[in-house]
Amino acid sequence: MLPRRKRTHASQVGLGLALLASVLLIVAATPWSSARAAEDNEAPKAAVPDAPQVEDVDKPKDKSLLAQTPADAAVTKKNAGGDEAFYQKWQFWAVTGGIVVGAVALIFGGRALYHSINGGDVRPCNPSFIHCYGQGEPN
Amino acid sequence: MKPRLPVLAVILGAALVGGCNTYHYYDIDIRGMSPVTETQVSVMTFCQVVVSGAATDTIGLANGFGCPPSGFPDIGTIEYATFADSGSITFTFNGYLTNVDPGELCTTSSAMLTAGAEITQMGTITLTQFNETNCPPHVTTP
Repeated sequence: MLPRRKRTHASQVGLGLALLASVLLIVAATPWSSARAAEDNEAPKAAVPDAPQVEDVDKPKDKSLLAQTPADAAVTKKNAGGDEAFYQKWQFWAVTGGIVVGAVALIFGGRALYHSINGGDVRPCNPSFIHCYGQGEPN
Repeated sequence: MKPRLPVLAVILGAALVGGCNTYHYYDIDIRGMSPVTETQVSVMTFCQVVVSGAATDTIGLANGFGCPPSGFPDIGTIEYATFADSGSITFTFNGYLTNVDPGELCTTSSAMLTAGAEITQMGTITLTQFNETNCPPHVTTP
């Protein structure tokens, strides 16, 4: 026959702690326990009616605060102008058109001037002549 | 500063006008004169007008353009255009039997003109001699 084991003080403390942990676990897991009640209290909080998304709750009630000041108008105007792309401005097309027309005129005018400086067109050959020769003549 | 602008414009305009080329035309009439005969010149099949002096050029006349001559004594007129407006310019007519060869040279004559401001100048080359040794007349059989 085996001798009966004698309980020590340490083992008694461990047993007590284990029992306490088991009781706490049961209390926390039970639905009607006070621990679950904390979660239940969150549900009514969600029941508060939401403000509509389109409504700006931060909008001031004082109309004078919403009225545009001259400075606001200037900023708005400046921003409106700044949003346009450069090719959407008439000034861009006016300058571009001027450059193109000027370039074409310069090319044709330059050619005409160069041709004129170099004698221009030779006069037509008299049909009664044998032929015409020399500079400017097609020969 | 402003009064200088018109002056600059005038100088620029003068430079442009002064730098312009102007055509000058020389109308050279080629004629035959006794003792040269129509029969003699008719053997020439290639002719040349050599331009020398203020302008330089060589003009070939063939295939009905002056050679063989289609008329006599007025063989025809050529017009020569050049930008030359100073110095002397000489036009020399050479008539050949068939090719540009001294041994086939039938006749030669020149006219010298002075290039100037005139737009058109007239000149005449008169053929007064013919080398029958180089260019024997056509023999026609009855």
